[in-house]
Order: sequence, then C-alpha cells, then structure tokens
Amino acid sequence: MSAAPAAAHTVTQSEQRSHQRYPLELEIEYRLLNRARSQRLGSGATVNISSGGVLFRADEFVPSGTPIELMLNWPFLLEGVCPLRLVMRGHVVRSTGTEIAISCRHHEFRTAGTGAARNLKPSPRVRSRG
Amino acid sequence: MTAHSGVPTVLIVDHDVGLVCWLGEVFTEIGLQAIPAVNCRQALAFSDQLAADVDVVAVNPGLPGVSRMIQTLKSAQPNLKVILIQDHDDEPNRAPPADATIERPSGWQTISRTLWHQKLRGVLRLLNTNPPPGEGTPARI
Repeated sequence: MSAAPAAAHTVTQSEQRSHQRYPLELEIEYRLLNRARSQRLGSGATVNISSGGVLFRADEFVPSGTPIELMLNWPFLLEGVCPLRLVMRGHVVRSTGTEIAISCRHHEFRTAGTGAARNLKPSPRVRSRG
Repeated sequence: MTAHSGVPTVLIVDHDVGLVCWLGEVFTEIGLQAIPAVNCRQALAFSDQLAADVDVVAVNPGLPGVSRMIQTLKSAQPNLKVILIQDHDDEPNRAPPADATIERPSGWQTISRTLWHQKLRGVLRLLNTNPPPGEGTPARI
C-alpha cells in the first residue's frame, strides 16, 4: 500500500499541488478516531480524491487535526455485489463549514469474505462532475 | 466476470488511489466494470479472489512486479489487453509491451470527464474491447 510518511502531519501547498485532484462524488462513511478508538460515525460525500487526500462534505463540523477514517464501498462493479471497500486513514487538515479536507497517511482496498461480499451494497454514486 | 455478465472487466493498477477511483468511474460510465488495486500483488490477489475474467488491465508500468503480473494475467486470459498509464517523463523503452497507452493527468491540469470518456472509448475501440450495446451512462459535463 502506498502511504505518506507517518510523521508528515502537515501538507504543504507544494505537496498539495503535486497531487492531481479527481472530481468524484461518492458516498462515504467516516469515523473520528482517538487513539485508534472509534469515537463517532458520520456520513458524507467526496468532492475530490487525490493520492494525498480527500475533500468531502459532511453534515457536521470536524475540527482540523482530528484523526479520521473514511470508508467507501467500491461502486464500480456492475453485478450487484460489492466485495471491495476502500479505507483511508489520516487527519483533518482543513475544515470550512461542512467541507472537510483530510490528508491520508494510509489507504487500502479490502475484500470482504465471499458471504459478506454478497451482502455489501455498493456506495451510491452521488453525482459526478468534471 | 465477463463470463457471468457479458460486461468486460478492467483491472486498474496504480499507486494513486485518486486516479484508480477516477478511471474506475470513467470506465464504468462507458460500460465496463472495474476492479481497483494499488499494487501488482494486490491486483493478482483481487482478480483471483473475485474469480474475475480480466479483459483489460490498465497499469502503471513503473510499479514493481508489473511484467510478472501481466504474464500471470495473460496465462489465464490470453486475449488480455494491456493499457499503460504513462507519466510525462516515462522512458518508453523500459515499459513492458502494451496494446495502448494513456497519459496520467498532472498537477493542476483540469480533468474533463467528457474528454476522458472519448479518450477511453477510443482506446477500447483500438483494442476491440467494446462494452455491450446500451451499457454505460451518457457523458456528463
């Protein structure tokens, strides 16, 4: 898995500019983390995704510096099952209203078990622009 | 997966999760189904675990193990088509053999969904890997 260095807790402007941002509106769930413990669960939709982070909209304000985990079910399999899930971990670097930018230090695709895979619904694709 | 649904399957392999998601969406919109991976080992694991008949692989040629991955996929699917995701400064001579290439967007370059629909449709026509009629959703601007 590619991951930014764990110590990199700030994203400089030049780093941000080195990552292409892809306009994708996908439903996500997120967990606010504290010392690896799940604190609170929320939901939202991505605005864009890059190799270094994600910008998403949520229904609440999340302060900068908050450790966070985002999850989305891979929506691009067409057979009505979603055995893959993208999990990203990082921290909030900017929060304006309910638009939240996170810097990812870790991301991975995970498979569900065969049985679980049939029960997982793909993330609805909200609406894409670009 | 082709064997079950008739929908061609593309395996997308790149370290940039944003690009993987983007290509996943665009390929799906033009009628394919997409399997994501961020490295070659994961790509092989997913194609195996999902029992997928991969028709097309779109891969970053700079990833470790790319030649072996292509060889393994081709042993299961001899008609596999290979699309390389090239960086602007990639040396063509060092890339594995491919059927087509696409160029990775860079920096602040604006991404046009319509343009990418056209680009990928063109590549698939070139590869003779066309989605079933009526599949896919219209381009959105």
